[in-house]
Amino acid sequence: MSSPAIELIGVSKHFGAISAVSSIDLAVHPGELVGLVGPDGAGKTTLARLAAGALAPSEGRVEPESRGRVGYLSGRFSLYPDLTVWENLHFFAQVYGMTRTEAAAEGSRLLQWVGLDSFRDRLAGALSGGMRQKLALVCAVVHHPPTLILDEPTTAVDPIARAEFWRLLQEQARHGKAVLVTTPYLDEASYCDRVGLLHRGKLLAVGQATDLTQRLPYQMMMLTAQEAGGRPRRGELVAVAESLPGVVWTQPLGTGVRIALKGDRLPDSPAGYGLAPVASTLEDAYLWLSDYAAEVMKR
Amino acid sequence: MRLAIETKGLTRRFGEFTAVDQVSLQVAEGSVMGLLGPNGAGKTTLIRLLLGLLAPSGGEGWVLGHPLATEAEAIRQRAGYMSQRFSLYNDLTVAENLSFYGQVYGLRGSDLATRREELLGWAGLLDLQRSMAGELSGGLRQRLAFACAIMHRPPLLLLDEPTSGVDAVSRRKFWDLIYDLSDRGTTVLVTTHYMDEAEYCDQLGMVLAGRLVAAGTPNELRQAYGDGGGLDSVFVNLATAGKK
Repeated sequence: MSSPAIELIGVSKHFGAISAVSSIDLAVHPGELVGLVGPDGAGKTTLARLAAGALAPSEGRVEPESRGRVGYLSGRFSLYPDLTVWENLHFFAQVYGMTRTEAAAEGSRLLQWVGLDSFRDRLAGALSGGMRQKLALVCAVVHHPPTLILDEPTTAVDPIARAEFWRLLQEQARHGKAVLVTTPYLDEASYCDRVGLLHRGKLLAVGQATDLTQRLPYQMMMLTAQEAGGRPRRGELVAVAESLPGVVWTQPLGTGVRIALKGDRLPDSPAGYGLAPVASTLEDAYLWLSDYAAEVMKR
Repeated sequence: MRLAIETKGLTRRFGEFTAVDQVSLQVAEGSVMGLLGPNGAGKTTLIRLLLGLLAPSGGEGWVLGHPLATEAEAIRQRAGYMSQRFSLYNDLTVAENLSFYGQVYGLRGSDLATRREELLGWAGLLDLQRSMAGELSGGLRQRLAFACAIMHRPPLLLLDEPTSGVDAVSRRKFWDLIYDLSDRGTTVLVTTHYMDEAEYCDQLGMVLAGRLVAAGTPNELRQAYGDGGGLDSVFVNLATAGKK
């Protein structure tokens, strides 16, 4: 494999007594789209800023040290709301030292790429959330950086705009860029070549989403009430689920209860109820890796 | 089946723009209904109409049996509401926030104290009752906001993207609380951006450009519009069809 475009080696960052991220090892290669997934406060933004060279690590190192150009897009990225789409693009191109002619040519191509060419005279402040993110992306890649680091570009953007945005990122990776993206949405991991699961400043695991999901050592099953009609009494279903041998956790969901079970022998359906295997999800794997299982079993 | 919410052709225009367009919606008492739709589709406007915070431009509706047109005040007193930008008082403690919201809804004296203690336990906040609300994590703030919204035991709860930004564990705990209320007969209407969260709902409504374009159980929607995929496919297929 080619040498990494960015590599974090044993990286930790402390702010006073608070450890924002600790002992992170992560590499992103050219042509690879890597996602960092975790909830608010897990350390996503700190990690993105460390990778972009905007923060110096307290321990460890980020390579290459004299990194070339990085396109960095933060969730709080500031477009100029009172400038038009076209003026924003020109502004950023000039900040990166491009000439007017270069900016105009590249700008037209990029606006077409993201489907904003018919909005070039609209004020950035009048764009929808999804369109604003696309413009921000265009502004971050206008100078052809080989590496792209995006911090929560899809947060609070609706699912359709999110899917479109991820397709743009996949295209950037296909064209050889190393792309690192943070997101709070576990379901977005499927767009990435590899994902890192971040929890309280630690990287729990890194790998392909499907592989991480398969690491879950539990069988997921769904318990439903057999008699048809009527709304399920969730409290009753949960009580039945929790009485099954080998139960690790339960999750009432829709008309049934999803259950994580451990052990080689799966229980039979209790009388009057249906019990069927269901697919595990990356969220299940995340909960297992983050010791949710230990926490609920202690309860 | 008794309905907690019923609208017929409910419409709201802002000047030339129709934010909510001929929405006919039925939500059965005690059910959990989810509203899905892209940003700007009209979900929040619809919720504001149902709360009587906005007057309809057309159509009619009943919430908890009260007509929207004439009894908006009664609806606001009886419904619970929590938005994604829920407002807690950061410089008040957890218990003080609950007391404040209880008083807004007319609870006093021992009624107020009893209900506050009950909800502190229910939401798992007993140990934190003297902490400042501003010091809580996202998931705990959200549970506190939820408890504040139900201090007055509303039979109907309107939740506008309540789980934005909270972690997976907090989200599961939040849904345990919603289901607990639903088991006891509370009706819940919730908007969400998370497709996997839509699976929690008994009924789903898909809102596009102000219109309710599809409604049904998650299974019904998957079968009708999913094309073999999950609810995210339902969402994308309906939205793409809507654009054409």
